Amino acid sequence: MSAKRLPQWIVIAVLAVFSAACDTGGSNTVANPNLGGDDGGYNGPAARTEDIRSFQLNFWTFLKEDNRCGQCHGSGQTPTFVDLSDVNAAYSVAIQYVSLIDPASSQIVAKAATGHHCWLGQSAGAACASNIEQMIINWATDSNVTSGRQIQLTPPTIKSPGDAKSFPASATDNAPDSFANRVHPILVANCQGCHTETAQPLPIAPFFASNDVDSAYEAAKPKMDIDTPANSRFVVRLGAEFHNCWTSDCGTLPNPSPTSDAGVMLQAITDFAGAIAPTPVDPLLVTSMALNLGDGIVAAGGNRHEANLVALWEFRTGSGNQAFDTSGIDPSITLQLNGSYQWLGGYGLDLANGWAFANNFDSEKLKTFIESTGEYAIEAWVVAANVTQEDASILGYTGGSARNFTLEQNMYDFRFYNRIDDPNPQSLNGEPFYTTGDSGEELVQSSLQHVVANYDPINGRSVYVNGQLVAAADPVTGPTTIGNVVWDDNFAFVLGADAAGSNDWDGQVRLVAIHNRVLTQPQILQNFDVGVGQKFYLLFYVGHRIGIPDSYILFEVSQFDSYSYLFNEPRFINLDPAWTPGGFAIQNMRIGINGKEALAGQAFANIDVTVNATNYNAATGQLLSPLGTIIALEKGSASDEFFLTFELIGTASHTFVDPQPGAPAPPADPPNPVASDIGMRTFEEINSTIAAITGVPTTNAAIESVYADYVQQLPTVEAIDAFLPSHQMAIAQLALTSCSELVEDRGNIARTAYFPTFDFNANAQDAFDTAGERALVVDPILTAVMNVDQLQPANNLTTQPTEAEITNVLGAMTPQDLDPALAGDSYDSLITQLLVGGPNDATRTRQIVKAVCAAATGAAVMIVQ
Amino acid sequence: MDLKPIISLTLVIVSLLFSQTVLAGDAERRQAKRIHDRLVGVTASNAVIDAMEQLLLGNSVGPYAGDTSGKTAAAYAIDTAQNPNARYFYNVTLKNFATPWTNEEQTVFADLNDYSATVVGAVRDGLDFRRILYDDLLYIGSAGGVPAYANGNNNHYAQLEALGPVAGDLSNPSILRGPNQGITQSAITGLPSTATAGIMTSRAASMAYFSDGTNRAMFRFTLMNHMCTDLEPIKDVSRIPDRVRRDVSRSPGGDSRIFLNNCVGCHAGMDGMAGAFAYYEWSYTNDKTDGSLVYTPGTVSNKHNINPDNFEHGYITVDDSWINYWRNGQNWLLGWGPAVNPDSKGNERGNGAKSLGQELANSTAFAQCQVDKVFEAVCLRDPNVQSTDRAERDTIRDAFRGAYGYNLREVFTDVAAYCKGS
Repeated sequence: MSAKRLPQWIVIAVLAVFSAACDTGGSNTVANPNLGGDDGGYNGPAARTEDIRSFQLNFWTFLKEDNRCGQCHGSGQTPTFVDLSDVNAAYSVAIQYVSLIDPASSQIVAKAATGHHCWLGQSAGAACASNIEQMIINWATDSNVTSGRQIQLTPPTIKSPGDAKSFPASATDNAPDSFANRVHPILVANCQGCHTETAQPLPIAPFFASNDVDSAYEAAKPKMDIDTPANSRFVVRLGAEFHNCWTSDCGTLPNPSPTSDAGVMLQAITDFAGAIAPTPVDPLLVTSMALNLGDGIVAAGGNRHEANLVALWEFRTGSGNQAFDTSGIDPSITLQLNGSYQWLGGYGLDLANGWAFANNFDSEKLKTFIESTGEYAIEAWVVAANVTQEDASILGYTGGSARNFTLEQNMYDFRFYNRIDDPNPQSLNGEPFYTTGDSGEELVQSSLQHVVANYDPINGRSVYVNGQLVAAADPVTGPTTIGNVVWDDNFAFVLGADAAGSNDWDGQVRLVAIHNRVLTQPQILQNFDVGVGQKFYLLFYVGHRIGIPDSYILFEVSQFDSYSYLFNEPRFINLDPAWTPGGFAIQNMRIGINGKEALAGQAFANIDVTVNATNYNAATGQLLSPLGTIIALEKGSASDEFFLTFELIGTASHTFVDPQPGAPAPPADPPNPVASDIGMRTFEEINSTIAAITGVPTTNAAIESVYADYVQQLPTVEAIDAFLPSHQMAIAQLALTSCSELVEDRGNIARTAYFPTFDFNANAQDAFDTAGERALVVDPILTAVMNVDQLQPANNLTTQPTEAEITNVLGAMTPQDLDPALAGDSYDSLITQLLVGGPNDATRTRQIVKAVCAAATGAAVMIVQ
Repeated sequence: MDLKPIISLTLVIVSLLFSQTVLAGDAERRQAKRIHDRLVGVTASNAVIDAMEQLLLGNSVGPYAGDTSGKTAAAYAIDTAQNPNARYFYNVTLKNFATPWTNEEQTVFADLNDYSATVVGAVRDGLDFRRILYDDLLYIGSAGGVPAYANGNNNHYAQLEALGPVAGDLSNPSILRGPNQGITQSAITGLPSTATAGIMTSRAASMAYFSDGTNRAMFRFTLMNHMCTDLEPIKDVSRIPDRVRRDVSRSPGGDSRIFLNNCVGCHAGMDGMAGAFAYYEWSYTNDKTDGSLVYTPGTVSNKHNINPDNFEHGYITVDDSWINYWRNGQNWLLGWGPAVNPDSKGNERGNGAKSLGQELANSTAFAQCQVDKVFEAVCLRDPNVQSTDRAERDTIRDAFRGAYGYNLREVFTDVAAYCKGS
């Protein structure tokens, strides 16, 4: 084994994963395409033209196999479009059934879509069709056939907006004929083996059999057709596809017996739907004619650049546990879905705690093709579920925690690992990784993003997000190579995690493509501009409103995600190319769905456009708004019916009435007061109050310093119940400092003016040995702190303690009783206590004055307001 | 001997006494003290308490006529000609009243700045308070040693504040100078007068709400600070979303229900109005506190069209026009003033921050918010809880809009009188 091989345990782990994949029904493998240039054993006449050669390489080679079309249409059964003996003869037949201009409209694609001998399985017709469509695209690309396709606008069937049913808001509405009563019990009883979050061994989405009826209801809505219950997916799945029937009698559509499984389900949905009253269309509305999404004209996806496509997943299947590689390049790398995943409406896969992996044999196609060129590009349309996930593997060609390549999300950054031929063992694991974070930008957003990761030997790694090159350098400099032996063919291609199922990535993936050439910026922009998902052109007929036949409002519509439709760039157009407008107004257009105007998303409700000859173009019509908007999906893309309303179109008008709710009733008074009548002073009020009491300004250097240290420890709100011990400590510091500055004569008021006749030079025992001397200190402080009126005690505020009470606490000569009702609570006043034990000098005298001052100043009477 | 334990014990005992003793007494004197405490923030001298007591008893004091309601006593308390401590009403109470509005963190521990100084000055001078949202208005300091106003830093105001409430007394018109002294924002900052919008174009607000981001912060915080509502309570998903910009994902995390049920409820209205700030940008290199406001008439700042790929079909900002979709739907309850330039549906339209400031300032919500804030600052409770408080608030609000001519000083004295206690 080469020194660059991975440890054996990793290989074993990978193989175990693959083994599990095979057990769960992965597609059979086929031999890798022969890239040796010998045409896979074909010995017939050489292709006579470049186009035929392109046909041979991109189409014939893949479909001639026995397990594809070659078994029948290679010889004998007409049409022999993969004639095994003569590629030129095959071409002349095949060209009748394909459209190189519009591959999607090819007859052969339509036939495959029916499931006609689909090599991926009968129910995977869509995937086979996509595969063949891609082969034709590749053929057309090699033949330099560019799509000059103009959308051919053909009038839809005219139908009026009908009264329509909408799903009730709640699973329990319309009881007893509610979803909860009629349908949910059947699902719980018979589908919980798979379709619930806790199913063992493998939960299979959607979880419409969940015990939580509300979540089950949301999951079940797309499976029920409340207009035509027999068309419900729940019924069809049983009565036509015989999917996991719970009795021996599945029932047979269109008329299953009432006791059959399909019959029971049909009756339940019929009962549920029967209780739903249709929403009538307001007859006063000025409406267009109505359309369903399926009435639209499919818009070609545009020309993606796929000349060097190796693998492509578009996630069109919409159900099941496999995602098919529709690149048309064999072998198809079919992905097995695992964990909690959900198919998206409008194509895509939601990998919330789910992942998808291929087996290593199919995955080897990536190694083979990429090693043949030495360069590659990873292209993906993704929606990150959040921007908090770290080391989350969006996709990778990995084994265990090792890798050939990985595209990863790390919060706001994309990381790109690429295994290169390098003596540094780190390089074998794709490290050091490239990160978009080096650009200084936070690029990952929780919205749909187009990401391309390029690698080539000369330029190394680069990443493009939404068509823009990220300005971050590859940490590996100089020429590198992925060589011919570096990449490990035991690895597997995995979406949403690494091959060990770890480094889980949560998000949605709408498309993934692997190319074996880098994509240039124009090519990336080309693919970015094409977008992702299927688009339709909807022609809403308005001729009956303006009296001009063939008149329509044209919208580009697509299913935006699983929950909404995108309505984009409305324009007025008349399908008669000779028509020219004389001038009429269109104002305030709204989108209706299922009989009513949508509540949210009415971005065209403010337009005011005059259709006239100046702005009208016979080919493209006249743009009404450059905007797009999203409208909530209700019943599903197959059932929702759309129409437009206008406040004015031509001479027809109807004024939209915007409901204006009245003022809500005032709340009742709470039974008890909810706020205290008093509160605290806040930080700067406290500082200023102490300054006002002591006469020491807030600009005093010592005060400034203490205040700066403690300001954030002081109260910031007045609420009295928010008082904390830390507040008191900060207040004490401020009070002590201020009083110290006052007594040391560094305030605005001289201490002898503040405390007239008090002898600051006496020693402590002498300075405080009489009640009168003590009063010289206490009285001025109490006047400043609590407005004590020494001359007229009757003026003292009665919401405060009496002067005598405070005076006694601070300076009484005799022991005091804190509470007469209590025993043993006798205490000495502050001055008395401070005279015990300390030095008997003038310094002590000043300390005692400071203490009396601080005790009063820092008390509740100062704090409370 | 360590004094601290003994002092702390005594302090606790004194505190207990103060908090437990409630005696009957002279109501007017108690009311005078409370009015003074709540407005001025510091204790009153006995002389001031005496005078206010007399006013509350209905007796005249100096130029003030007696008034038992307490309004005159309140006016006396904040009159620097009568009360030496009245300066604290301006230097402490009002400054801290406005400071949290001037920064995104809503902290009170921010330096004095041109936003808070302008609010203090506007109240001191009894200006029409609506002007703080739209006028060519600014207050600057004039005190020794204070550097001149600078567009690139806040030193002017920080050093004015550091002088303290005497040398840097904001109640003194010769120290804090405004329109009555011929000061205009445009003359000081160089911003065109048409581009000024009161405190919204102040340096402090610009730094807080125009730096980085998308300038929506200016709208949201103005809403919070001067309409007393955040976006969540006025969310209305039924408004026309044609002004919602491209940077707003219509499918956050791949789920468009979030946008349709939540995001659009705010963005439809907010993005409609926040376009008024399209020409403003806070320019800085490394430290945003050293930056300055840049106004580019006719050129939309890049931030307004940032992240265009989040929803490429969204609105592209091309100018500083705005539209108020909240005049219809549930948010008509904000009580918008008479429309000046409405569309056919009555949605007011305009260009630039100044006209948007007028749109906001003329609403009932603006007037009510100012009264609510004063009520909470003075009465220490929310006026929206008790019906009696609500009724009083409504009365004061209506007077604020009517007889008082939007003079917020009158609101302070009204509210202080109402909450004077018994």
